[in-house]
Amino acid sequence: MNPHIPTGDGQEVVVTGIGLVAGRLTDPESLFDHLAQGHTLITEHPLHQEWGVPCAVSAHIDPGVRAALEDAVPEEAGSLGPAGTLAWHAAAQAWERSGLPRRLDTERGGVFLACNRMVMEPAELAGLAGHVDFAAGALDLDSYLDAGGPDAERYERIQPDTATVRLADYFGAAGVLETHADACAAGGMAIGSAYRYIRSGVLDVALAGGAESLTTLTSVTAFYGVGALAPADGQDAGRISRPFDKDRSGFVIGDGAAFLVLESRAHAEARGARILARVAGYAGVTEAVKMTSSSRDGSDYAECMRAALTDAGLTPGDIDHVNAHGTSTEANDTCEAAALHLVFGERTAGIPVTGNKSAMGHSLANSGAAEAVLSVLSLQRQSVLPTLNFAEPDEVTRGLDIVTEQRSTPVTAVLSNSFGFGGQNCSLILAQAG
Amino acid sequence: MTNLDAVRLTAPGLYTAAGVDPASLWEALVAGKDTGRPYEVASGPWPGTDTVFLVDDPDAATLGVHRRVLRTSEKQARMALYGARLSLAGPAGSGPVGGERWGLYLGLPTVDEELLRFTALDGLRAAAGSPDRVAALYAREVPPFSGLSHLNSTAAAHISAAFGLTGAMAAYSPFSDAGLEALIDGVLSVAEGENEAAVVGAVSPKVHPLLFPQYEELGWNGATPGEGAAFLLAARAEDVPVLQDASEHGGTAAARLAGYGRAFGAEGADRTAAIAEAVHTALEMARTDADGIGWVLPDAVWTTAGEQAQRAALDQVFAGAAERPAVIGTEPATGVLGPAHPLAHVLLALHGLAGGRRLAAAEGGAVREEALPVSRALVLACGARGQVCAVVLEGAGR
Repeated sequence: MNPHIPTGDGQEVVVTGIGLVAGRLTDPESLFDHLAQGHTLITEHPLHQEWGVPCAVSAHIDPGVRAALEDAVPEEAGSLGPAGTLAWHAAAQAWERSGLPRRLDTERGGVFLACNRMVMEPAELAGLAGHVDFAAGALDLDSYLDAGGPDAERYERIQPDTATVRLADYFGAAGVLETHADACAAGGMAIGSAYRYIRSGVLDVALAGGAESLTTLTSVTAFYGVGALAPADGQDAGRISRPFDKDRSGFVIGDGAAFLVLESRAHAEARGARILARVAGYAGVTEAVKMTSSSRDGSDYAECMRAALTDAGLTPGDIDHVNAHGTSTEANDTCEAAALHLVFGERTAGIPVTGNKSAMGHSLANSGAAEAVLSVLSLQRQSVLPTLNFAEPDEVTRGLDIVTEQRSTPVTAVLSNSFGFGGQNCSLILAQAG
Repeated sequence: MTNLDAVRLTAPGLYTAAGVDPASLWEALVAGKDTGRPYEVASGPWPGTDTVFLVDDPDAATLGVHRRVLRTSEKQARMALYGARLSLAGPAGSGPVGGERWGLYLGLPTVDEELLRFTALDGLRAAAGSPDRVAALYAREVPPFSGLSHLNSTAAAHISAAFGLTGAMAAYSPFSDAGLEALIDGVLSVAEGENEAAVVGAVSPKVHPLLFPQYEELGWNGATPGEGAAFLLAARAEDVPVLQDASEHGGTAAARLAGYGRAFGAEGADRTAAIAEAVHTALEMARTDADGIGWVLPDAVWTTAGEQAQRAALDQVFAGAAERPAVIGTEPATGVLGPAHPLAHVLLALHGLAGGRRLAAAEGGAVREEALPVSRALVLACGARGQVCAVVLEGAGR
């Protein structure tokens, strides 16, 4: 490619395409309508239930939908893993909807994908176990590989950057390729990084989003082990995730993928594209508190939100909807609620707040991207989505306007937050197209 | 004058099998020192080597953290934290480190490993076919805190916490291009005023039995894996005087990223063309050409296809050069370091730029030190999928 040195000229960045897959739903509008009606994607995981896994609920991809998505991946895309397949569907949908040509074929397009690592699951490990000398504590690699080893394409399929390069190759958008590893904030950070590259004039077009497929025994056991997942305790699956409610007890894990096509306004207008929204501001920052919690007074999260507002040239008074990170963990929601009070002060009670994870679970690296897509639809439809299962606030979450039913309201600028374990914080500001 | 001119690269922090600074690595390469260690966890003749380039797992005292930090980290994150500590030792001796304008940019690899301990796999084999017994085994045997320690971002969390970094950040994954992506975006974050300083670093995968089949299935050429971390600080030029002590650690406060290029070529001729294109872009941005490069530090490419493509691309780029630059990297003393490899090369190049020296291949596979004819070095990263990054580093004078 022939990159420009970023000049800070300040290209306006717009959204011209969105795509998504979640649960059994395979487009953003279907998901928005589903959530607007107060429905959930969280169900019992049939296998985990049968196996006696403590948190046997998740917002997993319907097996029939997954099979159909796998079949729909074109041959040119090569073999993709569980997350890559979801990424492909969401990205291809966003690209097609943007009206861009099948291939961009310029140096001024890029792909920015957020995806966490995967680890070996029981069936794969059982195959490995037969080749371990337990007395010596050694793995006989020769016999493991002679016996067929792992699936020959496994490593290629599950590496987080596989979908990044396949998408770039397929759509001819390989000017900048980034695979983000910023924990639960990665989806928002991938979008934010793409936004910065377009704003600075390096790129004209970017495909940015996230994908995750970690509703597996290994991941569920590991997250349960650190107390991050809500115990099911025989509850109705759809009622377990309850962001900002006083009885919240952890998150419910989810799968999914979501992508946005971002363009400079000049590029979009020159080709007569339909502009869905603007990316008005972004902040992606690290912090220094602890692995599982930010500062309890909300100051670190508030700092991130304020930085995004500054980047957008907006004030708290310009925001009329918050799409919260809202994981339903005690720590996150406490910190985020406190931060919203700090940022919005007396206006806090007048800003509708939605926690999509109440219905979608927490799809980790994908969550920020999915919530950005839903925020775009809120801007388009002038409607904000409900937070399921919010019944009563606690001392800190009191005073927030937690939306519990779909609400028609003016939406001109949305603050969408993502906060990762260990203090990887991201705030995006999405605004009406103008 | 570009906005890259306003940023300096300083405060090298390098942790490899050759030691804990660029000078040690330089000396090990010149001396032909054997820095490998036996590796016996993988039995049998494959992978064809019984030594790898291991580093000691840093303990809490070395890392300067409470021992509970070790529970929420694995070796990969601890190597990264140690690399950051080595880097920031100099700046910390000269003034405050951290704060809201100090950012963090990381390249992080993945190892597709077992979450169960090896010792639990026998139980897994016995339980195979009985999912409820498997789930019960997992509930018992998955190590506590692995939900945190196995997140690929844990390294970022611990570095931020240890040094009070609260500025802009990003983390990239999983191959060598991620290391230079971190460098480019970290430098740009300072150039554009988003950060006053950016800690830039990358870490290798930990050497683990399952790393070998992972490499094998991705086209491994037999290169020996190594462990390590490479970190530096990208800081505003006007702030660099307060960081001058960094030169005591073998680096220079006056080097800069003069140009960079990125490209993508999935395979074959496309990959060769992509590498050449990225280099040409970086040279153009640095306002130089093939004759303006005194030292090339190629990626430690561990696939046969990638290795061939890199060699062919360098042949193309430097075919017309009046004098072909030295082409040599750290692999003989460090092994392949994944995302950390190109950043280790950056640190070695900065060390050479500071002293006006370079390394070059000598007879019999030896390495010799000689004068650096031009004060610029080219560092390459060739990701396993065909992602390419190239950077030109330049001695910048005060």
